[in-house]
Amino acid sequence: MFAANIHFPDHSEYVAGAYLVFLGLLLIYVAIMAYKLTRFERELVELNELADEQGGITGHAGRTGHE
Amino acid sequence: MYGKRLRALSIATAISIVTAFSLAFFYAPEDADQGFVQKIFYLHVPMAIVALCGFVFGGICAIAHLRTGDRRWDIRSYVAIHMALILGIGVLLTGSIWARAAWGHWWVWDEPTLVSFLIIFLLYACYQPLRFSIEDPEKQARYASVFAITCGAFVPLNFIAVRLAQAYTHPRVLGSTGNLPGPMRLTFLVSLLAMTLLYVTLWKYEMTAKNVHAQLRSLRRKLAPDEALTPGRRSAAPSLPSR
Repeated sequence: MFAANIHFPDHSEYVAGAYLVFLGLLLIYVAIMAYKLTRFERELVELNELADEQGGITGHAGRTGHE
Repeated sequence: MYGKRLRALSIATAISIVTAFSLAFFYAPEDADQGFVQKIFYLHVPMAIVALCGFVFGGICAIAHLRTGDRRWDIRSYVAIHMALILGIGVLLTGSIWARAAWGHWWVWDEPTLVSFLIIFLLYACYQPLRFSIEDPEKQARYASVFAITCGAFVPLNFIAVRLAQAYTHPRVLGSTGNLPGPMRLTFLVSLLAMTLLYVTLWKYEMTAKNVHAQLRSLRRKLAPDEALTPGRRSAAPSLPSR
């Protein structure tokens, strides 16, 4: 009953559409950036594990007297 | 370090966008001629101006690249054009929506402003395929810079040509801000500032992402030199030189 009393100006659907297009573009950009961020995170985890592995090898080599 | 002051810039952008849209809907009066549809202009026109300036900025960065030979300028140019293209999509879509509401057509081919913007957009849409078609990174950067400079010079020329055209069916906002009533002028200027800040913020985000990618690549080269030697897939996007 409340909704029926709301009066929207003429062509308001077009104005809403234009602003939603802008919002949509921004959201798509944010989604792309989020994907990139996830990829960077995955790559960092991978490199971190690699660094740990290499640290382990050099540490072991140092203890046993090998290079 | 492209991420410097990015947080402050992001906050300023968010505040200015909310302020601009609030002013557009609650402060600026309705246009006597166009009515409520005119509200689209507080979004469409600043977006068009910033997109065109972004293309010119890309050209200026390309000049710096050719002068110095520094690859970082090529990336700045690439990102500037990339961001302007995204805004360009928004300009074409919001412009079409406005045309439908005002003229009853989604697109009008005999309107010089619309068609000239489409020509510029399509011209820049060739930028990425051009980059992708050249395998050698040095050559790719050089050709892309020449393209960006040529097209960047075309943008203001095109703007002047449209101004000199006879058909004035498209509303002139930029040249007549002095004729706009105070509240409308203020709203328009705040919207222009908000859109400029948005462009700068997105440009910095993209540059930061590219920098992070370059740092990760450098780290991988140090940790796993054999892996880093495998050739990556061909890309239109340039990458920052890693240390």
